[in-house]
Amino acid sequence: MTCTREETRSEMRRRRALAANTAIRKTDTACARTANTVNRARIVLADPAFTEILRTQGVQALPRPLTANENHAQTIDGNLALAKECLNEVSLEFVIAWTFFYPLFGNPVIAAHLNNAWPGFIPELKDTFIELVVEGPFPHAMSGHRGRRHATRYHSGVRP
Amino acid sequence: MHFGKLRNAYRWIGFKSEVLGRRESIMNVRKAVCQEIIERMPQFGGTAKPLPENCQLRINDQLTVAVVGGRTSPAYARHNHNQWRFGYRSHRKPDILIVARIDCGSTRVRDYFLLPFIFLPGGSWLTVSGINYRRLDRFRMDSLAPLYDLCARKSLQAMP
Repeated sequence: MTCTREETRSEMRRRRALAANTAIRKTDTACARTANTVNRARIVLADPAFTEILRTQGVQALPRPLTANENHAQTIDGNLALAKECLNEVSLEFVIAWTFFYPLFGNPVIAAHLNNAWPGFIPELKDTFIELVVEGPFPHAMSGHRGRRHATRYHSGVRP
Repeated sequence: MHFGKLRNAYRWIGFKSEVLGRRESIMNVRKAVCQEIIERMPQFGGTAKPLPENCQLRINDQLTVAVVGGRTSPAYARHNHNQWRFGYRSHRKPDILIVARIDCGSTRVRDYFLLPFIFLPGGSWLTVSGINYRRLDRFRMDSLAPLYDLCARKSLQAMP
């Protein structure tokens, strides 16, 4: 069967649209996941039992942006539009959460409490970090011609 | 005889260069920004210590922050092109990258970009112009106050 030029073009257009949709979905997922993880870190730090354990283990201070009183992102949980809007705050707060919690995972007392009281928190934080390192929060959006086009669509809200 | 840097050797023999002078002034600005952070962090309950690497700081013994200068080339400045570049190659990857944008021929910081390093794309240079501006605009700030808020600590003793 002969494949005409028009058929090839249409096939390529279809593939590009599919790739752009996938990229947008991935970006949304990464954004929402990061926001949820930061929110969960806030909730964990608001637990008096956990802070008491931190105190007994020699931790003297908590990151202020992650303490419940300073919380301005509770509503982000599950709200993708807001998560995208606050991407800068969320991503910077995730860095703070990661650098605060990761060294604590090496402490058996703290790790045991987290595993008992907040099951799934440690793997969630690690998985989000790994996902961000591997994919970045702007998958396909920071490099190359196609990435730039994706970023334009993503930020303008236009769906291919 | 050790000169420390090739730049010092050139300076000692009386060689003056516009490029070297510009680099030196950017380096001075970076050092001034580092010094400002070191002096102001205690007001927010945190600590900042200089690291042996060029213009890198360890904040609260958890977070590594690097200060780089964002600049526009004299040719772009002459033609009023709003294009900026900054490099972020580093042996020791920081957690947060502070880009201080400095106007050509000036020694004052125009504004700052507070970027989570893990989110930056592969490579060592980023050009900030056009669409990149839109992408990074949310990370732009007029002063370092958001960094202090981000790195602020809350004493566990003060918590109920």
